[in-house]
Amino acid sequence: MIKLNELRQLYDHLSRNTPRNTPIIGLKKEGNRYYYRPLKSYDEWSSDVLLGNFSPKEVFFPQDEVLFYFKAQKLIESKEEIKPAVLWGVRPCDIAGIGELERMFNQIEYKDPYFMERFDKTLIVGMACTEPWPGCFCTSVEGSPYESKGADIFIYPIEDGYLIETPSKKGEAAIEGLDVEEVSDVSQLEADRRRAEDKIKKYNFEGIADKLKSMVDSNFWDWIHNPCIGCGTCAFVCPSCHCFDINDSSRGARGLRSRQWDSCLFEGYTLETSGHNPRPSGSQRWRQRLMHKFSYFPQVFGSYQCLGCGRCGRACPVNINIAEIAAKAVEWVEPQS
Amino acid sequence: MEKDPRILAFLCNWCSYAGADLAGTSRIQYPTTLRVLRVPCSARVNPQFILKALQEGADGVLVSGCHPGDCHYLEGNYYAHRKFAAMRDLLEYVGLEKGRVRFSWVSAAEGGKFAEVVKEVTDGVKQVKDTTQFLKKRDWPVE
Amino acid sequence: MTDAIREEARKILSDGKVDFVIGYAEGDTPIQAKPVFISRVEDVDKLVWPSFGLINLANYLLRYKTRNTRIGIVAKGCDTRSIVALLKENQIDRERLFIIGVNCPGMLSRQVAREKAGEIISAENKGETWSFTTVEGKKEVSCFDLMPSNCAACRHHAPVISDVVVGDPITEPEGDGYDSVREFEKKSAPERYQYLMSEMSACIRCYACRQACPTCNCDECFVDITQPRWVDKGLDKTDLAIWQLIRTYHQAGRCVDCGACEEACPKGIKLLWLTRKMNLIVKERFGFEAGVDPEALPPLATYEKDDTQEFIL
Repeated sequence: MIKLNELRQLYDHLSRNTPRNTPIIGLKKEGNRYYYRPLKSYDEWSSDVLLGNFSPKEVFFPQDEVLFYFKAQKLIESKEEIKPAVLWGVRPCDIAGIGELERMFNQIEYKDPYFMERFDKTLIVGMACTEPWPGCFCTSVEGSPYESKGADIFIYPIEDGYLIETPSKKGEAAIEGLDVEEVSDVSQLEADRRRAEDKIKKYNFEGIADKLKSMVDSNFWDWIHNPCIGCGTCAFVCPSCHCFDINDSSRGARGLRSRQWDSCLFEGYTLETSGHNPRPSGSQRWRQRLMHKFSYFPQVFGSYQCLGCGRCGRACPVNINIAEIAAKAVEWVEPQS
Repeated sequence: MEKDPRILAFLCNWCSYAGADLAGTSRIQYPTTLRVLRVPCSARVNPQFILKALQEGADGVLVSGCHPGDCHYLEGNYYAHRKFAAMRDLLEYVGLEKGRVRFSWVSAAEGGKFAEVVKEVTDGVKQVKDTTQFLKKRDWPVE
Repeated sequence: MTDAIREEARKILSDGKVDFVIGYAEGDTPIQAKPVFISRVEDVDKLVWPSFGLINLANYLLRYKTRNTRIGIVAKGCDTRSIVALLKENQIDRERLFIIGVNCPGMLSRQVAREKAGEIISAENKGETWSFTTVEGKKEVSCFDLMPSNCAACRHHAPVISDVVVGDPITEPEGDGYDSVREFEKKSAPERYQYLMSEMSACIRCYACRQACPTCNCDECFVDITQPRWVDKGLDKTDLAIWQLIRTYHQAGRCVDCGACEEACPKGIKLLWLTRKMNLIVKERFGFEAGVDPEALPPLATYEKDDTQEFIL
């Protein structure tokens, strides 16, 4: 680990030592919300903001993406060139979210070339959260505000500066030439980590994957979905929601095929061509959402698909908190009818 | 605009379409700017069609039906009028240039009036400075 | 107010008049209320009268269209107007409904709070003002400044229909509440078009506006129809603008200006400037106000022989 007095040093180093026009993407205020957008300078970065209103997934997985163009039978590849980028100052939950997306899009049989190219070319600079927000619950889903896994470079703010860790080779190469001394004594970080973790609300999700499996026909879903209005806000702000819809748009013989984010809470999500809808009601759609995040995903990939950033609860028009619902599911006892 | 505008016309089957026919058989001269779409009644025209036409590249849109009281379906054009009034005012409010979306009543006997309407609408569209409002750009690669 | 609502809810639940009551409860995150469905008398104390309750609860009634449930609902002035609009369209049964009408003094908006204060981490009510801890530091904003545009323009604070009314009657302010529309109309046409495009291009098509709206209740929304595909999927600017324009048009004579759509938008897009104009068009042209007169026919489902036809050639 190395120590820096000012973060600007690292920013400047990265902007100097990456190919020309490499965007450094960080949190930036647009209107009255915060988004991950290319920064023009270090000063444009909203360093005090923990989480953007939207997650950094759009850097790798844009909401609306052209897959290819076509003219009659002929396929024309999308000409958009994917350039290297630096993702600056993302928090551990979002890094974990990017990791979940990578697991999803980088499976042995099926690789998503669009996502993977962006993922491979991006340098992820993470940052620890010294002051978590109310609504954060990463410690309940095996995360930590000081978790550096998945980042290429990771920043720990300390009292008189910043400690920089490079968990990956890519990160090590990126900070090469940064003329600062190594620090060997990092025992302070352990105390910092505990202090930050203690500030985060803890939910009990023990055994939730198996519990949910037994609850397929439960009454639980009937009342839990009640306030939900069925919009796509939670899925669109989520760092790990990755469902998409594929659409053609054509005029005459020419057209394009593109994909857009989709949400399992949309009524049309499962609608089939015949008109049959396997999940016609809100309770079934909510069951799918919770099961996917807390049961199916852990079964297949071994970790929750929810990272505990709490964005969905903050953005939800009717204030549905997925953590509360998951915790209730764990405690749920089927009423005797 | 320099070139001849392209105007999509929704003409009702019973009056305006027949009026256009009459203009033709009477050899009345009028601009060749119209692309006619025959509809059963002016009330068939959903305001959505109008916006879709603008999006797909129409420079102007004309909707024409029977005179009040003459509707083949008795009252279709009264309902149509209310729909168009609401949509028209809304489009004006959001800054759509005047003269791009027009409405008229032309009966089957009014070949002359039809020609007049077409002239008036064409002149109106020619005055429009920016016909790219609501036009959807499709810059798809050719090869 | 909270006590009065609880009292009424307790009464109708214990009398067995309704199966459950839809009302507001305190939310988990700051300055947010959440809807609750109370079916047991002992849960009645969860109900509150919120400060930030722009959610239109009439929205939830649609789910029980075909079910034989008796529902109690806490309804602000605008919510009762939505209920009237729904009754008019035969979407719900009046007999199965018990309306706890509230003389609503106006709600506060978290969209406005975000505009005025920034990204809010925690909030505290200090009587006439709210104290917010934001990422940029502490900020105090008075309740008056937190009022959304629709509550400021509201001229129907009292419930239109109800089985019982709580809260003190409110004197309606002067004027018709459409000043903001007239102000916007003073801008030049290109400016107005520019504004439409810049607002709508932020849309991410989460459809929160549509889902939050009680009168957006088509079985299949035109934007979801695939054959024909009226509005392409994706984020093309014209598609986004047309989506919102047609939604506004579909609200003609149904929108009650409750502000639920704008409040729900995760991007903070201004939507009420469109729907309020539609309300004004309907009022001026057809003399109709949504949800005020339970007997009047919806404006686009009727006509007058002497409707002004000044724009027709």
